[in-house]
Amino acid sequence: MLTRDRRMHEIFEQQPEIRSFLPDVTISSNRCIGIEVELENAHSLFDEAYKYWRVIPDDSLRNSGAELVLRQPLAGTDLKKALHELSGVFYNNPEVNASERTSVHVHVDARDLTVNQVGNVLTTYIAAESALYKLGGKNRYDNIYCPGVSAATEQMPVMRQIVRPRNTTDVIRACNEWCKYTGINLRSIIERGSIEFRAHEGTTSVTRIREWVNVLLTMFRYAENVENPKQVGTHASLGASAFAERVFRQKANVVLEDGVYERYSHNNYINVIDLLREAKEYKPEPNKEAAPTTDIESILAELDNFI
Amino acid sequence: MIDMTSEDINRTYAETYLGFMDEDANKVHPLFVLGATERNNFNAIIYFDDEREERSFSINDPQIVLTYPDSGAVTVSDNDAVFVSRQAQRQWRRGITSRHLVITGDKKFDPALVRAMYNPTYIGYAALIAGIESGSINGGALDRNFWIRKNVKYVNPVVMFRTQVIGEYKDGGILIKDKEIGALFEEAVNVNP
Repeated sequence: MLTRDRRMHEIFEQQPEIRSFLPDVTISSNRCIGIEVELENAHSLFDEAYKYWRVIPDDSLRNSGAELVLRQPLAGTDLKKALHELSGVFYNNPEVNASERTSVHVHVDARDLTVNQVGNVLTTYIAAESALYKLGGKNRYDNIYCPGVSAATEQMPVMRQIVRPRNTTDVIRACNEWCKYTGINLRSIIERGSIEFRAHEGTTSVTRIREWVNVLLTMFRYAENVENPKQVGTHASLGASAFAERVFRQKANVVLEDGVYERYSHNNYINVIDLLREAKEYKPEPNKEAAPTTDIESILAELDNFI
Repeated sequence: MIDMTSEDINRTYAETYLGFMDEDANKVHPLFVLGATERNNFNAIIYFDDEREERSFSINDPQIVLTYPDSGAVTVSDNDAVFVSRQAQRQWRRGITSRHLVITGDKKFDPALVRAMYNPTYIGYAALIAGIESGSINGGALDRNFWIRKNVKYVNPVVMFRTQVIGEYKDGGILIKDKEIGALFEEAVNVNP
């Protein structure tokens, strides 16, 4: 090849830009997405190089466990092409499987979101959590890797710092203290600038992965435009169908399928109220005759009050 | 059909609790997994109401309940209540263990608590208040989110919303300052009067 025909990335051994940044009708919005697909029995994947995907060994899985990870965040047409390549990977490697130990993690770009909009995403997620878990596969709702917020209620004080932050420190602290082993992971904002969704079970169905991505993108579009988390709460109070139609639009039927969301939506709504409330401590009348406590938490609380 | 090696069973379920469904599917008993005996089989202790029994099971036995019970407030031992939620953490074992739970209330993790989690019972508001006033019970759960109990640290029985004290029973009525939670509490009382 003539020198003048060579590209700069070839001369300097850099990765070429593979993204066109063009929108696509099959992808709900042009927000960038990262995807990690965990797989088992994946020895054959290590032999090949893919344009859009990296293959990373995952020792927490069995039989040559691996993760297929998008090389870089993609949107629109680029994402469509990457998913097409993924179909090819599954077709050409039929021995690869997605056992109950595997999952699909989707990262949605959150770098341009305001704190208020992240609060909207979180509140919307909590209001629709049971539906999202159902969509992600029933194995994930009672799973051990990422319990839903409904089950791990002790995360609530951390979450409140996102929807009711007093200052930037609260936001930083909340992201730092976030436990990533829940259905939604805000810690990923620090590490990757994204909000991670972990509620989807492992799958080799690209159709399901695309559906999951589109549902999340539709949710983000709603969260970007709604006024504040309180308004999300107001919309959630309208009931499962009305809320799903407002948030997920053309994807509402997917979310409402099987009636699981209807069944759990009231408890999801109580989670939203719990999230949005001030949660001021109520101080009942103390029993002065009670024996002195040796409970370390009470001693620390008294010391706090004294200070 | 689940297919698990002995090693898989031990890694996933040994020394944790699962459920064992009654034949008439009315009640789930705690079942403590001792360890695998061979592929797809394990030994476990079932804690029936008044006796325990060690048996061998297949992981595919339809009476074995592998799903995690819902979190929330539960009435325990018919006379008190606790709130059980799950730790958000990486959990290699799938069954129920104390390491993976956060228990709010005066009850330690034991088979009785696992039984209460699998078979949550709620007490109607009127019966709950009457029981607490008469001293026949220390407390009880009204639903998954609200529970009322006596606590030696306070003069009056306290109303709990999940893990937080949100009010108290005082002068024959409930005092809750948070309006939204108060409305939810009223709703819970209407459902379970």
